[in-house]
Amino acid sequence: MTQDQFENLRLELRRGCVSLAVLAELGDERYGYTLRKSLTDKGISVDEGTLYPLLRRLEAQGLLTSEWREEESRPRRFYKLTAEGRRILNRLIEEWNALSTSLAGILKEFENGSH
Amino acid sequence: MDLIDRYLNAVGFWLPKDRKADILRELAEDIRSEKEEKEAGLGRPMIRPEVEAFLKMRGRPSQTASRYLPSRHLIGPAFFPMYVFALKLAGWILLGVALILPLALSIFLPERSASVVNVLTKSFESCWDLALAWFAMITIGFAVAEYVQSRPGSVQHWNPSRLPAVKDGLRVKRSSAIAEIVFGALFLFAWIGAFRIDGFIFPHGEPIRLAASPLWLSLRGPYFGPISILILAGIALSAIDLARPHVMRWRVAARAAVDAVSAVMIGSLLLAHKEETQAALKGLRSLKDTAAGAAKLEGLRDWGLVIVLLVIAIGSVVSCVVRLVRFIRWRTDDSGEVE
Repeated sequence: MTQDQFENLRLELRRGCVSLAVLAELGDERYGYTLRKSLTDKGISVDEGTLYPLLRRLEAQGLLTSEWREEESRPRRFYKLTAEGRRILNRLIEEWNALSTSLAGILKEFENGSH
Repeated sequence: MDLIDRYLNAVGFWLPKDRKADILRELAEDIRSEKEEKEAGLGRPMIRPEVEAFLKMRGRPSQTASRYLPSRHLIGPAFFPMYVFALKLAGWILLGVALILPLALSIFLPERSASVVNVLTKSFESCWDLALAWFAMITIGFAVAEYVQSRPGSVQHWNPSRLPAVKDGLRVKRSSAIAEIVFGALFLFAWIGAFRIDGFIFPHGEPIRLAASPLWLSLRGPYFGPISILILAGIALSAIDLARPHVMRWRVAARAAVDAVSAVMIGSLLLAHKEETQAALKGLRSLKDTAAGAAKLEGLRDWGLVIVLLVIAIGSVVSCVVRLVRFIRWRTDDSGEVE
């Protein structure tokens, strides 16, 4: 497999996690840049071209709210979860845990050489 | 800040007006925050090449803007394969009508006679306008179909029972083989003179004797033997197809060879009788002034004969090419089944 092929599959794998990671990080109010930095520091790097459109989509779906505020003499847009966002996030966490358990089982079988 | 302002301005060009200011404000804040962090790390302001590289990492302005726009397509994934198929079909038809036909006619009609390069140049010029028009019509047609199909409430009607039957590309249909044998035999009988074309026709109550075309008689002379063998070879291959319908690679090659030889023979035959051929083709124009009767029928007969032979020659060329491509691409998978 070429490096490009691996990169494409790696991106596909990570793409599904970004929404969940963003919602979880916005349990505390943040603005775009600090959110991006926080995710990167925790091992989930998201480029701004993906993050900001995602934030707007989640806001359009009613999962986030945002407001412009001046901080450090610069206008910044702060995001946080709505009540609906928290509810959806809790359901997604359950879904993630179930997927994780299933996948762990499949990968363990593979590693033990059952296939 | 000039480069960053220019970048934001270029992104803004592609954004919807109602959201442009909001998006640019947030994007500007992100770019400036990241730039400040990098400069803090460098311990100095970024120089122009560094700012250029920094902005390049973010992507083209149109690309950045596109991420804020809803995903849309002119022709979606459901229709795209059909669209490509329609374009290919149109391309092949255009190739035949605009290039091959003028080339063939230039060989046989004196007033169209011109060098091959001139013929191809002129054909390409007229072909280009036609190609653009067809491309536009096909694209618009499919775009409309995509729009209609994607509207909310549009119900997709399709019935699995109406899907076409699976064609086995490796089996020759019995009906095709029988038809080829029948028509091959009829042509052979005509060729060897087993039944004569002479006969009486009674249009308008007046008997007219229609004899075999002199062109036909002169064509038969020198090529009688080789063409008889070709016809017999075609009939034999069709008989094998009937008895053993499963296609084999060698039979594809044999058919391609028969087609190639047929095309060459008919072409050289018509060229060898170029004057008679040209007279037959030109004769069609003067037929409208000819009174109904034997002369008119004979003119039509000769013209029809040349057209039929031209069509057979062109058809043989196309068939040969298709079979050669199939022969070259012929391969088996690991299980030995032909792909």
